[in-house]
Amino acid sequence: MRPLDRVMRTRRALAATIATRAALGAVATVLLTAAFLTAALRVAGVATSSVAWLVAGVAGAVALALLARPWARLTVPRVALWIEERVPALQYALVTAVDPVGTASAAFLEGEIDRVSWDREAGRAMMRGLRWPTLAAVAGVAALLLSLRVSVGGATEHDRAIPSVTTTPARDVPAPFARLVATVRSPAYAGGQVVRVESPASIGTLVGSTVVLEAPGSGEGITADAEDRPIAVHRVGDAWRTAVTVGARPAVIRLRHGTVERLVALEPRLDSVPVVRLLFPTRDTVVRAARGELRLSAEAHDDIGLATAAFEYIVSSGEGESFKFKSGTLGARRIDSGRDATIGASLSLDRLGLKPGDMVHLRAVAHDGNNVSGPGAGASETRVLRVARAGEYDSIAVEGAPPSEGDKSVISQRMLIMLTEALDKRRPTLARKTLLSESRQIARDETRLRKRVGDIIFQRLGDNPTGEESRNPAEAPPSDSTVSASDSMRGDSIRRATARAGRTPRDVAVADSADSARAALLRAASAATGTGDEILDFEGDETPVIAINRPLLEAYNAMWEAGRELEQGETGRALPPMRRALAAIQRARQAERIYLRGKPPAVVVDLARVRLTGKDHGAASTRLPRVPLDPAAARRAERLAAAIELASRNPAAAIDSIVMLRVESLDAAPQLGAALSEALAAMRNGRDATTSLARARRIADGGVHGVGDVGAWSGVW
Amino acid sequence: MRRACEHALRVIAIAAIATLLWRAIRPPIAGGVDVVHGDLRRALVRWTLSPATEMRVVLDAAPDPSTRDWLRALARAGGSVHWSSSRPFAAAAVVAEPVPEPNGVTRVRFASASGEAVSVADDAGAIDTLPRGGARELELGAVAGAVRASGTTFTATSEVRDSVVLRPVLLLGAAGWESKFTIAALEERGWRVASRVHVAPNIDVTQGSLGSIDTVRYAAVIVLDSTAAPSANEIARYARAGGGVILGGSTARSGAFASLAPGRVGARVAGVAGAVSSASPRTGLGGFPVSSPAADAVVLESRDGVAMIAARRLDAGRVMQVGYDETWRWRMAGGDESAAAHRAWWSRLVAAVAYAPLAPLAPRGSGLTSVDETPLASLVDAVGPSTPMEGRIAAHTDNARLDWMLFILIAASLLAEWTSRRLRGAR
Amino acid sequence: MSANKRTRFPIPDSRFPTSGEFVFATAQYESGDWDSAPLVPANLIDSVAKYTSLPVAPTGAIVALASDDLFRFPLVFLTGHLPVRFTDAERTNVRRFADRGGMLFVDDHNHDIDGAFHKTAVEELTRAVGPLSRLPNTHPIYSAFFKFPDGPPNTSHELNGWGDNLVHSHLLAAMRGNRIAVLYSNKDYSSEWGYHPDNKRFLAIDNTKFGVNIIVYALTR
Repeated sequence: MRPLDRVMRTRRALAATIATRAALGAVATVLLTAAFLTAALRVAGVATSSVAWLVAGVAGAVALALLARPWARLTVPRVALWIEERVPALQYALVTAVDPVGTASAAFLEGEIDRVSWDREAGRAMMRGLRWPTLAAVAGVAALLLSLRVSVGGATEHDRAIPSVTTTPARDVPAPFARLVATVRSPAYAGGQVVRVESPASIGTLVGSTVVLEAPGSGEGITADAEDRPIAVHRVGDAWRTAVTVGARPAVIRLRHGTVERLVALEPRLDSVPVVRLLFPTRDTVVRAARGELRLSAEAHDDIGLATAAFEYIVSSGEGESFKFKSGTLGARRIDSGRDATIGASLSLDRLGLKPGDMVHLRAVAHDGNNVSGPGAGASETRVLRVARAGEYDSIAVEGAPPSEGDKSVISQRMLIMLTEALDKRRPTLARKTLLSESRQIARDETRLRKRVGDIIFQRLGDNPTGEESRNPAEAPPSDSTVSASDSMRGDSIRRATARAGRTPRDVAVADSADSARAALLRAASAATGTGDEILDFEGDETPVIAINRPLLEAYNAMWEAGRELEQGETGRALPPMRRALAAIQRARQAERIYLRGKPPAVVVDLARVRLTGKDHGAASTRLPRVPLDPAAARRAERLAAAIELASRNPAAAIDSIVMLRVESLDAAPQLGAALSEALAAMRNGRDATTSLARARRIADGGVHGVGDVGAWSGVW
Repeated sequence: MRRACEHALRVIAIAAIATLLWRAIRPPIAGGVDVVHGDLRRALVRWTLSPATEMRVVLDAAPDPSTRDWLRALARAGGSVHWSSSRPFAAAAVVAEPVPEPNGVTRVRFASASGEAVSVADDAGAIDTLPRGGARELELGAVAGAVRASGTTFTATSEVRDSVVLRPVLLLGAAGWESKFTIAALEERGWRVASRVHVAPNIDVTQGSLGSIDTVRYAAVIVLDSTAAPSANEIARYARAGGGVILGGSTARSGAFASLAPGRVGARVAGVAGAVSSASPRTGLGGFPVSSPAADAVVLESRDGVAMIAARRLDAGRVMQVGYDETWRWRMAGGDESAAAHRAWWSRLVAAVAYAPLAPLAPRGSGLTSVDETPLASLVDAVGPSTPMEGRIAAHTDNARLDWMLFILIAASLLAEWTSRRLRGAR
Repeated sequence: MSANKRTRFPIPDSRFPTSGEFVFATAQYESGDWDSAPLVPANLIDSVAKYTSLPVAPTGAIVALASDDLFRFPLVFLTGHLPVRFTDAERTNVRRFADRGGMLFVDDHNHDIDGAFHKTAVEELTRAVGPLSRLPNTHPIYSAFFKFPDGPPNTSHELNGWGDNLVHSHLLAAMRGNRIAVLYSNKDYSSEWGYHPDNKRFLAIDNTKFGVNIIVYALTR
């Protein structure tokens, strides 16, 4: 083959390479540009846009033109030179041989050239030239796929005040409404943000926003309504305009001109109430004397903007059936539309003039600036400060709540532990008698405390004194020091026997009842806390009622154990159960804040005695049926099926039907509404909506209720 | 090397063209045996106009109903029609039928031979899949159009052709949480409920039309306790006549109900504490187990080896014994979806026994249906079982797919050869 | 007195052996004197047993509003004199309770329409369940067992001029569909019914009959 022929062959291959490279480069440019623009638009809240592809196409055409420029420079001398650069062995023989001027030593040159093959080097160079464009094209595909996964930016909390509008492509809009523009202004309290969008399809904005729809034209023959209520259409200059205020429920604005119709969906966003948190005081408090200042602190947060915040208090005085109340506010503050605020105040307890038995309810309240449907009011949890009565014995201290200054007379489980620890430390230096005396004093306090816990757990029944609870808490508990055996279950029997000696039958019966009640409590505590295998077993007329709170049963058990040890002066062995009791009380208080305020009397009705003894008789009555939960569900499914069928014949009408259905579903069936949104977005942008419509239809039809094996009886079991 | 490959590609293309030519001009098999492979339409027309002595089809998949009916007609007209398959066919079936529940619930049962994957879909999209075959039953809100069960060698199709006539449910029991919430669950689900709830001697709270207990009036009767004992005989007659009866709690202990019940009433068992808000809420409910189930009883639900729900057919009717007596706790104390689950469960119980006559639906579109619920069984019914071909006949089968593959091979070979040649710069 | 009976119970979590029994539950809440009417439960239980054949537990139960135990008692009675301020847990529970089918009967023990209990309870109930509106005096609850053609029966405390010196002609209610989820009373039934059931023999007319209506309504509607 002559050198010129070989060069021509190489030239053809180079041309193919340049063409391929230009094509790959153009494709990569289109894909990367489209990916970038799609991602940016989706972040900005626009699901799809043909603008992205238009711009990408232009960029691709430019890239193609630029990358294809070398094609024009593919002359034979240039190709020969290109070959020479890669095959130095030719030593410019090829360039000389293909020179059109010719040379006398052509045959010699041909011989030299024939000895050298450049196919491999040329092939490698061409492959290298295709490498980066190929990689760029692959990267473009990946980028585009990733961009489609970017979530379409919705309203974040910070953007709730800003309306969001989705649009419909202009090609789908019928003529009188082709240049429809929506101007949406959020309410003044939310900042009055204005958004103006062409060709709106749906508008999401706060309740109370105003929506103005306008388009060029005289407006003659155009009517507008929302939820079948007509809206006025005015001519303004060379355009027509209609306005509506967004209500609390989703609605559709229907514009009509003859047989042509245009729908715009309104999706109201509700303004949330402020969230308020009381920072101080942290817990309820019981005090002996209400003196001094109580610090108050709270923080509030709103999605749009706060207006005011303050502390509220209610003072309740009285007892029995007679109460008086006074209320007030303090620390009130105006907040200039900020979303977050902190308020503080100081409540003078002296000025309230609180007496024993009084209660102060405290909370923080904040209002937002919603002057359309509100203002929304949010309140914190309430804290209660109670002044203990003189004769009252509230022995369970609130964990973490500081006792009033200088008040060391409140006895609590924590205090008992501290006293016991102190006594245990002094034990080596104390005489046995002193140790016993002090230890039993703590035991008496522990018993009183245990009784209060027992009151909560069990209610005793009938008129008979029922053991522990029948005693005045101020009385000393029965001295068990004469009982030699340990105060265990066996000890109960021994104590019973000992106690019976020398007593009247009635005293014995009372004591037996008390002992059996105490034993029953213990058994119940043991059974409930897993330390005994017995089931609860009650005799006589007793019937256990109300909530058996496991932590309190544990506390009861542990207190009993601790009391036993303290009675014998064993302070070291008493401490572990006392600590268990404290932990259990803390758990119970966290689960159920319990006011140990006294035991309600228990009355048990003798059902057998009173059954059907009433003089009066009732009358038969009829019951009205409940309504099905979602009676419109079947109708929605039918309408969706009809709209899907319509889509193949009249896509614009199908879109309108689905818009109406979506607006109605936003409240009643939000899952269906969301699925229809996806389908509408696809339909408006000319994409295949089959999958999203199928999903919406499945949701509307109720989905799959159950799956199971085929069995001997119909149904999914 | 590259040029050798290009030559090889040219040879492959020419060989494929020659094969195609030969297949087009070869003579038919002697002896009047006409074998058709793949597309049957042309062959069926040909056989209808001039039947061969033996007409044999080789199928890749079960044919559609119209083709099958055509083959059946050819066979019945006296022709000898045989079929075999180029690969193993799987037996499969699908059926869609209405469930007697409000709001149009549909039951779809589908099955395929073990090892044969099957997917079920309707016009709204995919519903379920069994990757390794087997059988399954689904209950759906509604199906869109026809239901199709598809595998590699079959497509079975079914449609809901009937609707159910749903009558009210009658509930009898004492006033209490169980009767209150059972009625509430059924009504909220869309059932019409008539009830008589006992409050005091001669004082009941009633609802709906309370006449004789008859299948004309009621789809099902729910008896929650022994307060309905005076109506026991009437309920027994109702069940035998086709009605559906649910006996709740320990109702089956008394009198005439015992003879209806699928089993005896066992000693009450307590629920597992705290389980009512778990994934198995009914384990947290107490109730009376169904002990000693009758020979014809079907146990529908059991717990720790003890039956809690059982059912049996009683003459024309159905009786279900539901041991739970405090299902209301599930609704009140269960998880977030407990109220909806409680409603659905009670609705399903009633649907499982309800007397619900069928009414045919108006046919869709042209009136012709594409229902083909059991493709293989229907094919066997039409033209008999598969019969393997003799060797010489098998070698001479018509195969349109082979023609297409040869054409693609030709095109691919030529394109590859040309591309390689151009890329190396040759003309 | 009934015969001496040994009653055996299973583990503490199943406190009530008869699942079909109605148990009268009183709500225990954080902020006020929830236990201000301790005799009402027994009195109403006595009336239910007197006039109906409903199985009923012989004593009432106390259940914390914030506790999951609330859902074991679909009818709960709430009363007090002091301000009502729900904790977040109580509010969430009350909302779930109403949504699932429970009924809360709230009575202002103060009988004071501008008082702290009324204002705060109405605010909290509105926040938790929804607005309270007047219940028509023709509502089925007034004929659920006994007939009260004039609506809610007046209480002696109203007629004696206690509290706000008003006779309240209507009760308030928050609805779920067509059933009552919260029934609110200003009429101080807590005082009216707050006596030992044995003392009924001294009354010419049993003033607890409306309580029977409330219970029968809750059990049957």
